[in-house]
Amino acid sequence: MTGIDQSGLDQPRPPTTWMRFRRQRAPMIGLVLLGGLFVIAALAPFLAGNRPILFADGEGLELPVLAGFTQEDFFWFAGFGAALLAFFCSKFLRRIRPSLSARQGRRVLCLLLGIAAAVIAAIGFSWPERLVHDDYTPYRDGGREASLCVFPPICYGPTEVPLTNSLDSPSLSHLFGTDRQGDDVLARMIHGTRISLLVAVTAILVCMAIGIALGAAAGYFGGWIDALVLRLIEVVTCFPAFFAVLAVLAFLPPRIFWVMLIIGLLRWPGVARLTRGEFLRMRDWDFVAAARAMGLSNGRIMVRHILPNALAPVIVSATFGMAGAILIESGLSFLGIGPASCQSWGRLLSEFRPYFDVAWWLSVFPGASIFITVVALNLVGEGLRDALDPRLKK
Amino acid sequence: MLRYILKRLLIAIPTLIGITIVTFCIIQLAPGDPADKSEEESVVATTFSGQVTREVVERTRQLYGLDKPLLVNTRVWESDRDEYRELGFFGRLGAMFTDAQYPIWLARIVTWDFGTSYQDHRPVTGKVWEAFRVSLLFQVLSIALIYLIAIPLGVLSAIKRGTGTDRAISLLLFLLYSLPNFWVATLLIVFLAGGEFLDLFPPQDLSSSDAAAMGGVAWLFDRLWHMILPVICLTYGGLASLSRYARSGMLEVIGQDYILTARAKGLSERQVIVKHAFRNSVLPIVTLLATLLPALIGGSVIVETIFNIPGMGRLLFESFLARDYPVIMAVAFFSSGLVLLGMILSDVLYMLVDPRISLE
Amino acid sequence: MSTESDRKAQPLLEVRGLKTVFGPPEAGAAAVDGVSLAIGRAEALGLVGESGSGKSVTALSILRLVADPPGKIVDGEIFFKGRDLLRLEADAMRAVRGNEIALILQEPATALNPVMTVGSQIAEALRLHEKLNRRDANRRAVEFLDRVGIPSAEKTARSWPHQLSGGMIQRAMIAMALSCGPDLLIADEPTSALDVTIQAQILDLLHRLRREEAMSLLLISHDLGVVAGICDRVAVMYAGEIVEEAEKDRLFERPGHPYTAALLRSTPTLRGTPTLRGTPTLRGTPQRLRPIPGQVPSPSAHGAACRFRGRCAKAQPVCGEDKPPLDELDPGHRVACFFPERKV
Repeated sequence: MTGIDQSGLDQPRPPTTWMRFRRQRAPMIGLVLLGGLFVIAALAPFLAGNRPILFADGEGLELPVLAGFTQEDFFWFAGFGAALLAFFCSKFLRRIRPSLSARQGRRVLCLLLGIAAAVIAAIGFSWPERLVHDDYTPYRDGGREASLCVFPPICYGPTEVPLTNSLDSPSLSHLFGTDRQGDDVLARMIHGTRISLLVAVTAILVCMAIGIALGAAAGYFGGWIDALVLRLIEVVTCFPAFFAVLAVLAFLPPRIFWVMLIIGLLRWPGVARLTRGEFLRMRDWDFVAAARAMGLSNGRIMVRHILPNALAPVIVSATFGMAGAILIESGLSFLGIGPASCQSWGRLLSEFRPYFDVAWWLSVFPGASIFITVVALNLVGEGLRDALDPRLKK
Repeated sequence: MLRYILKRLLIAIPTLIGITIVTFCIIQLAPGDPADKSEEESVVATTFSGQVTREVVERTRQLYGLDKPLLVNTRVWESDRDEYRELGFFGRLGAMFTDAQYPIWLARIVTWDFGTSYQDHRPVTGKVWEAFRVSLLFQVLSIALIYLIAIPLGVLSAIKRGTGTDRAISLLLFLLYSLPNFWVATLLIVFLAGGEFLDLFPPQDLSSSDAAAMGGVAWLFDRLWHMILPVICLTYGGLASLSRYARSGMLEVIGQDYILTARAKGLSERQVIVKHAFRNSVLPIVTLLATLLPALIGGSVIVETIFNIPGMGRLLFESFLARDYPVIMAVAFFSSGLVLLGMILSDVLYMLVDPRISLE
Repeated sequence: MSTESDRKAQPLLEVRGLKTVFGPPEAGAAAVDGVSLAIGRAEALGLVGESGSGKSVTALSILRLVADPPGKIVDGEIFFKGRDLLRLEADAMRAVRGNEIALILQEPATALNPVMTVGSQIAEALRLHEKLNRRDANRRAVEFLDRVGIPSAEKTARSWPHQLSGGMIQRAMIAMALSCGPDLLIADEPTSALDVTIQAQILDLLHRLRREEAMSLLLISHDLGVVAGICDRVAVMYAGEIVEEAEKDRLFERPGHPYTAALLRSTPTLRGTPTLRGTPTLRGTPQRLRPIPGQVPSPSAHGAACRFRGRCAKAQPVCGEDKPPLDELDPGHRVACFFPERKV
């Protein structure tokens, strides 16, 4: 008997979700855009500021930009560093210790990240409230010279002592023009990235926390819990977005925290419905029955067994939810709601509004940044959805 | 069919009650006693327009009975309460349930008594109704346009799947879907409505300032001309999302067996699409009305504010600025009720259209 | 039952070298690769094969219903009543569909349009091909529903598909297929989604109607038992090719191709059930069920050689070099194998 063809048994491994995601061009562009936005937000002082990155004037090398770090700057920068750390560790851990299994590798990574988070928190929360008095603008504007003075690419801070070039149209020195106070629009936009991203992420986290918890309970336990949650979902869905937000914010002090909370509270029904659907579907599957037969508690089954499988559509929804959160937040800021100190893109548009008809760049660029961010998020969301969808539709 | 509608309305009642509860909870956030709160927390101190005074706070308190207990008033039984002295036993029993915040609020809602506006002392119901009429026009027009354009667009895109037309349409819809509506409104005004560029449309209001002097047809045209930009802003978002749903729904339908059966019978492609595919793909789109409505109503705040249209959205915003709580609560409640109505409507429509739906 | 000479004289349908590919033509993933078969008038041909063997695609190709993209018929001829269907204009082809060749599908639950009544869907075909007006078409639809054994035909005609059971829908599908008096009925796994008892009923129905209408039948199935019931001849497909074709009894008693033989060996029959203690055996010695090792090769792994060689116990080097042609082993019995079985 000649050799039986066993090739059918050694099928190539089916592509993982990430691989399927990577194959799609547009969503990858979106992911790169998002990554870029994160980098911009984290490294804002290095990209747009009036403090030089490197400075030497005979007394050795200084890093003025770091000296001017606020607590906020530190957290973003440290967060960026932690992300880099995680990335490189995941890549090189395998090389250093090939014997580590994927699970152990993940544990090590979590441990490292935990330590990093603790260190960052310790340093960050005790960050001194320093007032920096040194002014490096003369080096920029040509008043003084130094042997080494490397300014950030956009050598203007978001707020400066009023310059003389108010309402300048876009030029080489001010790529996106200037506003009424003479501040560089691009610099303000770069610094506005932070609050926009922060609001989106926080709102979504709130939304997911509530949505997953309630949806899982409703789908898994059924009965009156399900009925109650469904009613709740219906009630919350009845409130149109802005109406609810305005109604609630009318009663509350205008802190950015409330804005984030409200947006999250508005979107949880969507996540809850999805989660509920998944849990409903899976609670009758065999692996759940097996887990129960082993004596596992309901909570453990829900969290360790069903939830990892149910997360796929939730993550897709979360991505789209972030896009929506950014739209809502910028809309609110545009209307003037929310603290004036929070320089989000919507806020910029709101501030620039009186000058729109004489300075078109004030309306186009900040709005474009919102648009691009939303596009990036939507692209990634669609890419995830197509990657997770077993039925390849295109 | 009537039974179904009745049943559906019945199911909606708990939701309606839920809405009243939520709005009630929102009221609870209202400043009760400004003296209690710290300077930073007090709404009086940090209000947007600075117009809210202690007087406002006091009036809110009286309006909503904020000093009374929330649900059940057990104070009626206390002997040293003057206000309950004259009530007999049954009177006290009744008061226990009706003289609390929530029952008071509920009773007033049922009788359409939303109080009077803080700003101009007019009855709130009247203000809301006026604004509603304006918004209604725009919403209905928007919805009609959305469905009229989205369905053919989606179907066309699905039929021509993979071709350049499909890809172009999909790209366009995707971009539309991602545009912030206040940015679009702003850009439209900056570039098309005066300013340094084109001047094709009026930047705001419902009618020109000299509209009253125009004749009937001219007045109508003037109105329509003013409505174009706001309607565009309201419509494009829902259009984008509905088109995509129409497309994916159609694609799913086309892949079904019964389409193959229809083709195997010898029907022409056009007959297959129109008679078989289309009818099935339209079904889920009907239910989308329920999700479209809150989005439209929500979007109206920005559009109406920017274009200065006296609708519910702008009313809400102005009341927000002025901390005109009665109006705010009324608008919030009313709009939620509208959305609920829209949901019921879409369910009923769906039942009419799909033979598989029966009374469940 | 038609004889060999009858069939040769006037085949109703003759497929020659049909080749249907999916995906880009360069990739060469041919689901149907050079299939040739013929069906005579009032003859029933069974087309048997595993999932993925290309039987359904063959059926769709005959009616030119292969979704393009991704599929495309790239070669071959399909002669039906003297005309090559592949060269027909679209309009002429549509006149053939439903009218001269009818198709019924596997899954009753999704085969009918859920928003149209059953009767109206049958009437639709009648109005299209027989040019009846609405009232006559509806009346005839009810008549056909009655003929296929549906109890309250009138009521059923006004019902929606979701109100009917699987068996009823298949009957309705058969009624719809018959309504315009086609010469050939293609049934693609008509009973695979039904319970066994309903299966038997549907097959009986097909058998009876075929006789009454003197209609040809192309019955596609993965189930040898289904085919054995009502077909005159059987063709076996493997990996997109026909590997054997014979009269039914001949095929079952003296299969020529190793694949057919293996299939028969791997199917439990009453004559020889696997040895389970207590299981009654009717006649003959109990035989062990012998599954076929390996898997069907994917289309990209097709070569210019025998596709079954990877799983064939008798494979020789020559099997990997040339493709065995579909030759006559005996009159009316064709096998595509260099080393066909000569005895059971």
